[in-house]
Amino acid sequence: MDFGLSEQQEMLKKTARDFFKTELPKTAVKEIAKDPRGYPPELWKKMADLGWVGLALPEQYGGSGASFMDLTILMEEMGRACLPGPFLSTVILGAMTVLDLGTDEQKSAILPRVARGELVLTMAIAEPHAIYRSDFFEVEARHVAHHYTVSGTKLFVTDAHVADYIIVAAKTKGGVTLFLVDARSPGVSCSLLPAMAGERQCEVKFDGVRLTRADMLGGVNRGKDYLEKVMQRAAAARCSEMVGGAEQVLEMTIQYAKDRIAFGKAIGTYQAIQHHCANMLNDFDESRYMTRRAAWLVSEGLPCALEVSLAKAWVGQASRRITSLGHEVHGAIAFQHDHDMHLYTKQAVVGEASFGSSAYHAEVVAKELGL
Amino acid sequence: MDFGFTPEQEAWRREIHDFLKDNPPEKFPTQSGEDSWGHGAFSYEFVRLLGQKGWIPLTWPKKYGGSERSNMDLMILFEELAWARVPWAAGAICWSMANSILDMGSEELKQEFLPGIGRGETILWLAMSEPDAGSDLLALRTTAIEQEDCFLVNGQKVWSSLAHLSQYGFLFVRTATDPNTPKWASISTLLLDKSLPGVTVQPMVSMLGDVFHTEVFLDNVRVPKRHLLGEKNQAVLHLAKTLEFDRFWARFPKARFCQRITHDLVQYAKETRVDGELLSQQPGVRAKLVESAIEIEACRQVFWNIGWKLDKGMPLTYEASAAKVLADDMGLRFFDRGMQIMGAYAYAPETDKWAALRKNMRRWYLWTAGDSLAGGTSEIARNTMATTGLGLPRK
Repeated sequence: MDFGLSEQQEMLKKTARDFFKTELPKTAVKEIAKDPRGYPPELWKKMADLGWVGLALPEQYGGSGASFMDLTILMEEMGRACLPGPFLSTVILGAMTVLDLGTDEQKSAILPRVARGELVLTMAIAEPHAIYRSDFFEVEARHVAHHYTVSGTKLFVTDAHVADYIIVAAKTKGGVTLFLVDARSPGVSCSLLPAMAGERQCEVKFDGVRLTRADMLGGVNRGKDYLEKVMQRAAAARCSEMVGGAEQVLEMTIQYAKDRIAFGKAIGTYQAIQHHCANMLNDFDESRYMTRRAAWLVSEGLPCALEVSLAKAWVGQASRRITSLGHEVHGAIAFQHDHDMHLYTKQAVVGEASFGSSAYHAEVVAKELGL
Repeated sequence: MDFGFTPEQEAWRREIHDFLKDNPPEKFPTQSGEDSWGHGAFSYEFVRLLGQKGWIPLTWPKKYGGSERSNMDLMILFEELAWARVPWAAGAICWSMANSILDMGSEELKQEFLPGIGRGETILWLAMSEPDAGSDLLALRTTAIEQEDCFLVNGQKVWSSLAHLSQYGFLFVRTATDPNTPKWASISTLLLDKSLPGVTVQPMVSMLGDVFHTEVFLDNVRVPKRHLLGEKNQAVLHLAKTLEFDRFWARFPKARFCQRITHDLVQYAKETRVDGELLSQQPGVRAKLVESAIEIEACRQVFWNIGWKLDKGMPLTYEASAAKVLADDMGLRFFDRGMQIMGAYAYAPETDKWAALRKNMRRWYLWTAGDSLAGGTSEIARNTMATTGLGLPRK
């Protein structure tokens, strides 16, 4: 057992922290939230140049060959920086799926361009009547002669409005199949959904989109089991972002408690405030270790259904407790738009709902317990 | 980063598991805690058996009967003992006091005490609290005046756990009585032989109806000078470490213990039908079991992190206090949920196979009312976390 980061991971973390500090001030985060694209392409290019978009891709596809664990360490810093944009969509949902399931041709065509920052990817899973259970999918790919036609509506597709390719999970005869769809294909339409934290989620409609076998990822009916893996990866990655955000909330709250004078003393001297901070610290530590363990299991390819769900269920709740206490300690000032606190509050609440809410993952835990 | 166990660690876990299967803890007579396993239960016979196996001094140097194993191995041992609900209430506490002796005892003291503790024959209790000095330990009033041949001790201790079953007290006393000496430079630790004249141990009956704590009266007790542990007047400097052992190690087994009870409750819920429906199918019951499972695991990961830090020799600041708060809060909620899951059936006739679980659940629930107060209240621990851990100002 070793809870420590490797030297490389420490360095990656530090580089990322410094980078976002200079390149992504919170004023920029707030500005970007108003931009319909939802992310700054210049920053995306810089991140690609640093090797981060292709961090966990093999060198032969222009990546750095790092592990999923390394990637989640980087994503902690992204959460801390409130980085908007399609990193999780492109890397975790998109590129890693192409890497796992794609043919040599698909991988060669897609992955090097992803690593260079030229392509944005995403995956369309949820639907109006199915969050993650593919048994209830209605989007269908019908086999007609030598091709497939996909029709139906996907929901909560992250960053689809700027995506070049959308991996769609569709019902096929006898199972679920993944297809790699060019987002500009005739019949694909996309509209933005309401957002809270500057995130970009879309409704994507597929209206008789014509695909061939060559667009398939991983073969016919290989999608159902693989989607579970996608979910585990995405949930662990989302937890990592939330842990990074929680760390920043804890630090800024402590700083405020030291600086703010009330009744002639720093408010951090009052036990009511101290105990709030201690509770935040415990929630944070628990979140971090639960998350890193889940990410490590995913990274090592070990069974992780229980551990990922334990982490996501916990972090979803704990992050909200942390931001809620952060508000309490900050007092009214953090209610202001100018303050940064609300960025994290929103990130925590949106994070809790994505890739399985706490309630969803609690039910996974129940099954794993034998209930 | 590595969250897995090595093949050697897995084999070690199996070895303990097999040993406990061959020596079922519930077959051992207990001297404290009528439930015979779990919180508060203690058996001389079982603790001696652990001693014979060489598992009490597992991490100690070889010259004191130890086998110099890692903290990780010790944590695996503690987890397995907890899972099997062995009657060793004093075990973890005793183990932490032995560590203090290893840390600051003279060679003579180590030779005198460690072999007996290692064999499970010498049991120590922690004699800290007094009627007017609990979390505010430095307010203690028991005095030990140095004489030519001894320390003359007078005073009273309270909440001394299992002193009635122990041989020695790990006693905190005031050795400098000059009011101008700062409190932190006036306290010492003595190893108190309970059989000395002037020592009276008075059992305290708790709200559970049985005895775990005692009051200890000290009336002109002559403690030999060689039983001074560490330097005179300097005990406060070691106190943080003593408390670290107590707060961390005495609570470490709790997560695993609660996992075991969760396991039993899941079985209970799967086999118990009320109003035509299995409890395991009732949303309220499922939610409570799952909330517990998640919270226990969160707590457990922090404990393993602390153990790893100790193993690496990394300094701890707030961690032992955090461990105390987490474990005790978790325990309170856990047994509260346990009682709610059982509902009225916690008081059902004790005729079926779940009788022991019901009886224990009632006992554990009451027991946890004291947990967050033991070892310094959780509020004091939160203060430490905020100041020592997070750097918030004290004034």
